[in-house]
Amino acid sequence: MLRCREVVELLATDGWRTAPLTRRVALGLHLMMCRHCRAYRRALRRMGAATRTLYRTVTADARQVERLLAAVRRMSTR
Amino acid sequence: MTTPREPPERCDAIRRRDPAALEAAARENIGPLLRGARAAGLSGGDAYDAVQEALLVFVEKADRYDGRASVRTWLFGILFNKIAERRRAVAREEPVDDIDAVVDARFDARGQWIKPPRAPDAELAAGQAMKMLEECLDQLPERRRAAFVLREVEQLDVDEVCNVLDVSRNNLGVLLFRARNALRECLESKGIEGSADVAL
Repeated sequence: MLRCREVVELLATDGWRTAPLTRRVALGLHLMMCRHCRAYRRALRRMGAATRTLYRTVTADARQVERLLAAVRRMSTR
Repeated sequence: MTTPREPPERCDAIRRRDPAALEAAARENIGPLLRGARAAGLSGGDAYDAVQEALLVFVEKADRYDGRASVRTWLFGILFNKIAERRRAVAREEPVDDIDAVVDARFDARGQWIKPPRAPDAELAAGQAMKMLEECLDQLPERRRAAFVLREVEQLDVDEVCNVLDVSRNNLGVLLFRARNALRECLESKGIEGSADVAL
């Protein structure tokens, strides 16, 4: 049986992605039974989704894009 | 999810330094690169300069592009390399950090929660909460924020992020562990919380 502390480690490091199948199954079972670890996973997911929304508002304006592309063109035809 | 590898014709065009292919690759990646620069702690003109520098190195070295990584991953690698170079030293992660102790304090000796997490509720996308999230992100050390943003926003896979930040798999795990837990603790301390037992 996985401990909660190990679940947190697996989730927060992305270690679960490369963990052996038995460990991933143990993780799934633990999450089914432990509401605190489910809440923790939910928190991570929501933070990720919200950060995506936040960062996707960072974009270049048209003038910046044109200036950067002009620099690329100058360099690539040199 | 992983960023798509480039089709062979495109690799060839980039290696030939075909101007149209280079421009198209640059155009597609300006937004992601600006976000990467922001994640590395740069803003405004500094972010723009770093992106320009990365694009020019890309064009200059395009003949050496081997197609093993997507153009985006390659560009991120150049960008983060340049930023680290400019800062002269790649800050190494400390062996122990305050956030490790904060996480440990939530568990008993048997590894069970004594202080269970309070999950951010569904309102995290709303205005006030987004402001708090931004503040908490700003407090993260740059490399932790970069690791977190490359995974969660750009959705690079784990190996790609290791490549871009030039860290081992273990090291990336430490960066992500600290970034995610520090963010979660920060949000919880600001009072963004929901009930811990809402069903998924």
